Amino acid sequence: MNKSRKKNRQIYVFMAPALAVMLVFFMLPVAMAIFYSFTNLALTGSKASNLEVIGFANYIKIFKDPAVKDAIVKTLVFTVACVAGQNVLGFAVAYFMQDTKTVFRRIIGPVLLAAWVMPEVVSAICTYSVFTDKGTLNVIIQALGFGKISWLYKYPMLSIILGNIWRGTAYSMMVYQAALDNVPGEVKEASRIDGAGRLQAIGYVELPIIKNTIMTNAMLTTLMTLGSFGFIWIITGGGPGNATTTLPVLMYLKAFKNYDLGYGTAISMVLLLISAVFGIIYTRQSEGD
Amino acid sequence: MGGGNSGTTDNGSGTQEAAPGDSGETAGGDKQTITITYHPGTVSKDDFVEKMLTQTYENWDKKDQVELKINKIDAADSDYLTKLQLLMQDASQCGDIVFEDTFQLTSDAAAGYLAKLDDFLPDFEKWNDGSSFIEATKAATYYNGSYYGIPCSTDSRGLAVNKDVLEAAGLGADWKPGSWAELLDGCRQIKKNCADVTPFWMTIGKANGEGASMNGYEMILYGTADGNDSLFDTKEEKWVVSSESIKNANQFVATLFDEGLTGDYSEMLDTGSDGYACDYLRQGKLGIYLTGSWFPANFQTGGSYEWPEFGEKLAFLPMPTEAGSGSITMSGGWAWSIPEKSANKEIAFEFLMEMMEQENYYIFIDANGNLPTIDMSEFPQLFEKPFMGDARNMLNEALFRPKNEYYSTVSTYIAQMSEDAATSLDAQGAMDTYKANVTGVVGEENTIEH
Repeated sequence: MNKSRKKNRQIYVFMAPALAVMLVFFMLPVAMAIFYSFTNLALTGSKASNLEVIGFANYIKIFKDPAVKDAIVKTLVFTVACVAGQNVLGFAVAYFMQDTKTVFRRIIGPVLLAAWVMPEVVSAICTYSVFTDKGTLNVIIQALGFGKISWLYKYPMLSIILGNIWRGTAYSMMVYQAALDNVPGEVKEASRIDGAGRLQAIGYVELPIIKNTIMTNAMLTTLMTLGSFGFIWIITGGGPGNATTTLPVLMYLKAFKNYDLGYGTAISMVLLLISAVFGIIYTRQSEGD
Repeated sequence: MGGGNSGTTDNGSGTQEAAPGDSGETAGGDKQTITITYHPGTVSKDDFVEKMLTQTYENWDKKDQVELKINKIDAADSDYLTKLQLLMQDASQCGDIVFEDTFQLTSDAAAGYLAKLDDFLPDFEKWNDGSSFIEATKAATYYNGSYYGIPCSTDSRGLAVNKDVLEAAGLGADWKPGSWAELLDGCRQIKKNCADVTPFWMTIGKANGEGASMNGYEMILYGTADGNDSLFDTKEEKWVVSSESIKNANQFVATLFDEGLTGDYSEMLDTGSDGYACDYLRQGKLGIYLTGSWFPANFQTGGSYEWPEFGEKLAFLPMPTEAGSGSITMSGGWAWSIPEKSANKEIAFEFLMEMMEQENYYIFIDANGNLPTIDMSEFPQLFEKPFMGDARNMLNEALFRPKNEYYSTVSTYIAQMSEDAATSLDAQGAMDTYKANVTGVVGEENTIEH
């Protein structure tokens, strides 16, 4: 009895530093953000000098604000497209890298990895210089004899989605590579002996085996994409108009461009809620297993 | 003039802390430090603000007692203002003198970021002598019974046109549009007759912040039937959120873009938009640029787009109103203010007075290209520069932005509306979005429909 209490105390002592860091750098800011979302906190004007608690006013405004609805839709479109693209492409590349030892593995791997290893700012500027009016893509299109297309203004969402898929595929590729390496060779061999084709082997054997990895990876890429701000901000600034204004971009615009920090913080809570929903879905799914 | 002015003030106590340095041994860490925060702008190759500050400091009789720290923030206009607001929230970061756009000044004064200058102004001889300052410019820094800044530049706005382009388009070098319709027709004619020439340019879009609101959109909006009441109803003291005038202004912007009378979106919506426009004007690839009276600063010696012949090749025309009943110009400007949290207000104000001495101020206003706020008749070369006369004449009938603490926030939505009208929404849609946004900020009771 005494021993176990002592052991308990030891556990708490060892956990204390980690808990303190969590508390100061994570829980406290989140708590403050929740508090500020109920205030009229502003960057300038008389509201900036009198902080007032205004109850649910910011949240009521969110429900009435067409810009928020629009941003939620755009966030979901961006997230779903990017996650699907990154996972499918990441899996495909990882799959083909399994048996091709030479050229494919040597070239494609590092090329994809380069996009992921680069700082966000750099990969965003790379994407920008591909899609901008005088960018690489238009140079290629024009060399092939077609007219140039103003990608970032005619197809802004498509541009940032393609850019983000390019940037994120390497991550999924690495995860799937590890997972596929762990699929036992006997199982694959058995399926081949049983007469399964390549697609059947993937669909009925390999995918079910790495199902958990797929779930985890989908979850991680979802969360990373949901919060994506810098990448979009650098390429389009949320524009043209509000064509690429996702929730994180809207949150920044409201807080720092329109000087309404309280409202911006409340929008960040919506983002938190959406992330939480995805989190719960994932947790349920893995508990089910 | 100049030099000895600060000796007439009785604010000497602010420098007491520096006294130990008197022995002449070393300056040591006892010197008071004043920090000046500013944004250098893009019109000039050199940083003329730094040059002005350095000269002011070198010639200052308190130089030995005070250290000068220059905090340059090289960012787009709107980002600069946001950074400034964040700095001014903290005593250790706010510095002692800041460069403020006067539209933002009202709002920052209401926020308590800026110090009232009431206690210092009685000692500012120039301010009170009735002849040194151009009285009308003082209003820009006045809010709620106090002055919050020393205005250092003012301006007007109009159309900078390339006469060679007008000629080539068949409009004639003396072409002067009398209404929006004539302006649009002129643009169409340039598009038709001059290959590879962009007819029209304006500052537009969210990224360009107040520049897009004032230099671009408001120059159009204030020329509608609602005139001076088109943005803010001065009788009812309410924000206009829906009106034929706003819709017409949106439609004008939409027409320019829909008919391809402007440059590429990517360049116009970029924060470097002004640079593209100046460069194209110089190359004869742009016909008409709706801009401010500082534009010659880009072309003069030392400017970002030097062009010795700009005085003959360009003309600065008034912007016509919608119906053609006359012309319209908006006037604004910048000011030097002292943050409320500054610990060195007195000495900072002394330095500020030195900055406004003509020979120091000349460096600033000459390179900056704006109109001076103080009497500069001792420097006639300032007014002999091309288009300065046009700019000053326009000032006589200038309109001003609403003096309301919400203006700076509303302005961000005006910039958004200009972008919406040009890109993703129609005239009505852009106005509806604007209405929802502005109502959310100022409250429905402070809005009105015309």
